[in-house]
Amino acid sequence: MKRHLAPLLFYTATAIAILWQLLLPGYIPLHVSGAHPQVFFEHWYEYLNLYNLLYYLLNLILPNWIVMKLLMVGLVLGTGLSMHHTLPVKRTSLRYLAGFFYVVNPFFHTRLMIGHLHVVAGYALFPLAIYFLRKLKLKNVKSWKNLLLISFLLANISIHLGYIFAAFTGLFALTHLLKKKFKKACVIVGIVALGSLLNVQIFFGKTLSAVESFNEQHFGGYATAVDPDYGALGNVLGLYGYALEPYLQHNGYLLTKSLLPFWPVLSGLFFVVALMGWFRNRKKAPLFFLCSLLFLIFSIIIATGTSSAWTSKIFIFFRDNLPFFSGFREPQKWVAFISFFLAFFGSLGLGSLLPTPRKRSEKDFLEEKSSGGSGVIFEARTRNEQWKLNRTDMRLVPQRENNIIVPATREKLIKIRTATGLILAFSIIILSNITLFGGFFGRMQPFWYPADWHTAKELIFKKSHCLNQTNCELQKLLFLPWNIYITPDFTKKTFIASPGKRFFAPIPVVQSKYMEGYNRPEDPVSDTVQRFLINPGPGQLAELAKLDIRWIVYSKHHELTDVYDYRFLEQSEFLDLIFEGKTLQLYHFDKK
Amino acid sequence: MPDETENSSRSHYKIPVRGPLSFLVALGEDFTYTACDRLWKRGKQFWSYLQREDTQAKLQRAKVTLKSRLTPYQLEDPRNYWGRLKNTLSPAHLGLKKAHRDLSWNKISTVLLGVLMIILWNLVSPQAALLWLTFAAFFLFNWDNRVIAVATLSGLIAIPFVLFWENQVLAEQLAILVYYLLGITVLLQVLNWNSQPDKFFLKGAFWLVRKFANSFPRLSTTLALLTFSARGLFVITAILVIASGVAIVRSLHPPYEIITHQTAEQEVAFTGMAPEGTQSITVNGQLLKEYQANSPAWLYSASVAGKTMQEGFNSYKLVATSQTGRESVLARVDVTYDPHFIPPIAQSPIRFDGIEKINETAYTLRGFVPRETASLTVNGIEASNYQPFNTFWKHLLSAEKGNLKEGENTVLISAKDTEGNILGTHQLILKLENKNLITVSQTDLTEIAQQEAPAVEEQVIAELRTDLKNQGFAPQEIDELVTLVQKNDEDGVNAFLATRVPPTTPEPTPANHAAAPAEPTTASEKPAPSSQLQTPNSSLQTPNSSLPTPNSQLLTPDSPLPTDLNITITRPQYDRYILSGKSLPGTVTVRVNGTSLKKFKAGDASWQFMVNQQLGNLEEGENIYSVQLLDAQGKLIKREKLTVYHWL
Repeated sequence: MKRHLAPLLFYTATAIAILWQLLLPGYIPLHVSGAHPQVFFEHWYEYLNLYNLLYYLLNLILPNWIVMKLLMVGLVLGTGLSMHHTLPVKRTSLRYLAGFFYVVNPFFHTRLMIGHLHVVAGYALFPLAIYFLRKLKLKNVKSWKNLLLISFLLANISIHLGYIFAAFTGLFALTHLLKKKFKKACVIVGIVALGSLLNVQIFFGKTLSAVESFNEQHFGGYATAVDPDYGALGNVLGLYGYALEPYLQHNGYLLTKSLLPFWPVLSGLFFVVALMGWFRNRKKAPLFFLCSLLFLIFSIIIATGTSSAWTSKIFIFFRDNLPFFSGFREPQKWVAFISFFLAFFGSLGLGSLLPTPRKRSEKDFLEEKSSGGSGVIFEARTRNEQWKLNRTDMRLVPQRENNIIVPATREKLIKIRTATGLILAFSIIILSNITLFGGFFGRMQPFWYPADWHTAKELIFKKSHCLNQTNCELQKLLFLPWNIYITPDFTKKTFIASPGKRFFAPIPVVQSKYMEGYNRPEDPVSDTVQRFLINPGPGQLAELAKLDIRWIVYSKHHELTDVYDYRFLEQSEFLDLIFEGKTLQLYHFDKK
Repeated sequence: MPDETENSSRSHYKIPVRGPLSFLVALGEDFTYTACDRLWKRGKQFWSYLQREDTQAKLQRAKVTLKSRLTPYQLEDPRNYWGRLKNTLSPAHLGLKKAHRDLSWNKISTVLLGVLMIILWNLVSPQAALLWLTFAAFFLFNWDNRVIAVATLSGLIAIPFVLFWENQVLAEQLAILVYYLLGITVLLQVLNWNSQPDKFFLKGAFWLVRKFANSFPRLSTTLALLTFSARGLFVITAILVIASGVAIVRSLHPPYEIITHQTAEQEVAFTGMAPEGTQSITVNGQLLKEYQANSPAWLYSASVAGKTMQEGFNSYKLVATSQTGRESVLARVDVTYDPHFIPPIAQSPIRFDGIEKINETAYTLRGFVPRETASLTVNGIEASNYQPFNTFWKHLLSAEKGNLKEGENTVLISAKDTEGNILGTHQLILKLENKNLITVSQTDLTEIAQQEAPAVEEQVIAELRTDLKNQGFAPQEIDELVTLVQKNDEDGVNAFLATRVPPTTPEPTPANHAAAPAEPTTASEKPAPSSQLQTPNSSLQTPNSSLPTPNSQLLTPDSPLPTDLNITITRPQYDRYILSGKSLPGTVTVRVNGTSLKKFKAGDASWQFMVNQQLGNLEEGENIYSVQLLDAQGKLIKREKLTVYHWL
């Protein structure tokens, strides 16, 4: 086996172990994305996101359920390889460990499981970005290009991770300024700013308006989750704390901390080893190490955000004063850097703890027997070995008996200790994230849409003569239940984003963009629908008619998702039940 | 000649002046010339004096003297107090010049300090910002920390005087400041020591460690191995790996139940189920005498008097033995007995998680309830869209629905299990103000609700009686209704419905005339006492004789009203009612209050119509329903009018 293929195989195996039964045929019921037959994006600028573009292009030649599996395997593989490549050590085992930890941790677990695949893609690129930042040399133009490219990619794929990287770069440049390396500091900042700003068309599209629309309620709704026992800080240090964590756990998503009562001890252990790695190697690249430590503290504070009184003020200060910082509606994304720190420095720490086989030199020999004044050494003894002069090539070699180096205890011990250390390290990482493996511990199963969904879709097409989106603009479809997330039976009780819009494309679908209880609609269409659902009287139906809604699809057999009572569908005389399947009802709304 | 010379030089200054005062002018000219000339000469002399070497040396000495003000000799003089004090307070001595130089030379550090100060000033407080700035500046530029020490001592000395002037607040603030400054001084000194070549502090610390290690060699070696060495970390990791594995397996497949309990009672009892075929149960190896073979349950009580429980931690392992002698652990009971233990205030079983604004008049309340919850009511009404045994709940409050008003709103959330036991009651006081709903307070009323459930019921019954009285019902009718409500409502007091249909025999007797006035002509009029009353879900038949009017009749819920359409009212859920009735031959359309019933088809024997508050066709108090049966031509076959009273 070629050596360079080994990491590829290792991380592919990790990906398979994580996804497991999700690799079987069927859609993966990711929380927010993926479970729909067709890939399309609403606005043209969404195609400028390279991840979206890749997703779309792959979907042109492959069915979406296969594309999703390929992308997810690719993301795990990419994340591991990226960290593997970044770690500046010669020991390959430590590189594997770093890559493995960077993949197998609660942050990656949560984001992959819920389907924040842009964040995961950005997370995968982040170590590479750090690598190119460290490797930047003023006289090497290629290194400039590399940094420019990775900054562009990172900001393009995940704007949040791009921002975190830009902030890290800012701090890195500042440390250079303190050391009076003005030129390098300027070059670093300039390249990263340029790379990021190449995506300006994305920023000033939907992103900017979204950032501007965030208000206190959004920040409250998506604040870092507080662990009932260890608080928000405990959650963040343990790489947990996704805003909807209690909601997810309620809906059957299992996190390992539910099984391990002493999970903070494990987090503590990872931090101890990482800080040890930082301390013992700090003189190798003092500026980068100092910057990393400072940024770790900053990340912890920001990730804790408004969930803790002592960090709240700092978070709010930055939110109000730093440009675009208010885009971090969900500050837990900063845990990505904590995860990077632990993987990077934890592996270095373990490397410093593991015994290293020393290179033997003549200085190591404790006793020497030489032949008088000739200077030729005939016998020598190290701490554990006996060496003799090989008279054929006049070199010292270990003394052998039955082809075994006589006192090889130390060497053997070193190998045994190294192996034990690595096995322990891998075991503790696996055990502390056991619910990541096996398709998220068997909590997710691949699924297919029921036949009646397809029947309903065909019926709508047939009756509305709807061929493309512009043709159907006056025959919109209202998808109910009115919550952005639903738990239909066919996904085996997994909580997924409302699939109406993607499933019934190209018919324009009016569906909720908002998670009830966490944020509220601000566009007039959603507002009208919501008013109608609160009080579904004939007067409100007239309001609904103004929105050109002609069809209503109601997905039955879902668990509690919102507060509305949908029995009005059966009672209203203005709605005709066109089709009723096992899981779905299709109504035609007569405008007259 | 001399005169000539004088004249020639004078002519240069000569100003032509004529008249009687010309001599005065000439005198002035002369004086001016002389003064200028002298001054010029003196200036030249002074310049040449300054250029001389000895003068320069003198000047240098003078500069030094100017700087230090006093010569060393004078400083050594113990009597020269003023001189010494002035010297101490001079900018050079205080280090102000050094400070200025440091700050101006290290511009980046200065800017950073400024930024730090601005951030801290905004984030924390001005006082904290100044203190941190002081510390950072002294540390970064290695300034003499005795300056802070002097400030600390001055502050310390000032405190008694401030107290003497009875300014306690200032004294307190000063004390806090002194405390912080003292801390900064000590810390700076420690850091200073540490930066010295001999590393005084580290040496001291190592000396202490060595002393400890010599005193407890084995303990210290073990600690050092565990804490600092790779081997120790490996041991810790190995232990954690094993513990994690065990914990995960046990979390997924708990071998037996572990019950933990903390109590101040001298006796505690536990009970549980025993597997089939259990012959005996032992508790910590002792046979549980109270248990009889093959009994389905076991009960164990531990007490201080029986010497089975002592102060502190007690653990009881209950092992069942089957007929074949096979042993299995039933449970482990961990009891911590602490006579001084005060049980914490029970956390509310109903958790209120927050409010979500839907629009300016509608809000969602959300939270969690126990898994056993079969029904969840909010102010007596079933929580919107709550499904039994779900742990997450939501409820819609909106002005349009009538359950939210401007100002303070009291929301009482109550969870019950399948048997109607109260699992939890939580009261929220919410305030709707400026189109924002905010939580004013929340109280857990579970214990009160569980203990005083009957009292609450009585209170509501009293309110119900008042309502009925206001609606014009006769006292006996009220009694009958209340009795029915109490009997039929197992869950306590809930919404109920009373209906009235036009009497079949409209002539009131003189005896009941006072209690049963004529039918109101308009809906706005106060309703008359009912001629026919019905309460839904009533499970008991009430004797008809109890009502004085001949046509007042209390009916069971499903028994039809004495109308031609046999209208019945059923209540499948607390706040939802179904009006149903039979249809007549030829009926094609049934309309209730003008709305055609969609599900009714020609030829159907009966029709149904759902009423509830959410649909907007049921209101608190009086509701009038007009049922019309129409044939194919739209001609009216039959019309019935119902007046329904709804109370919460």
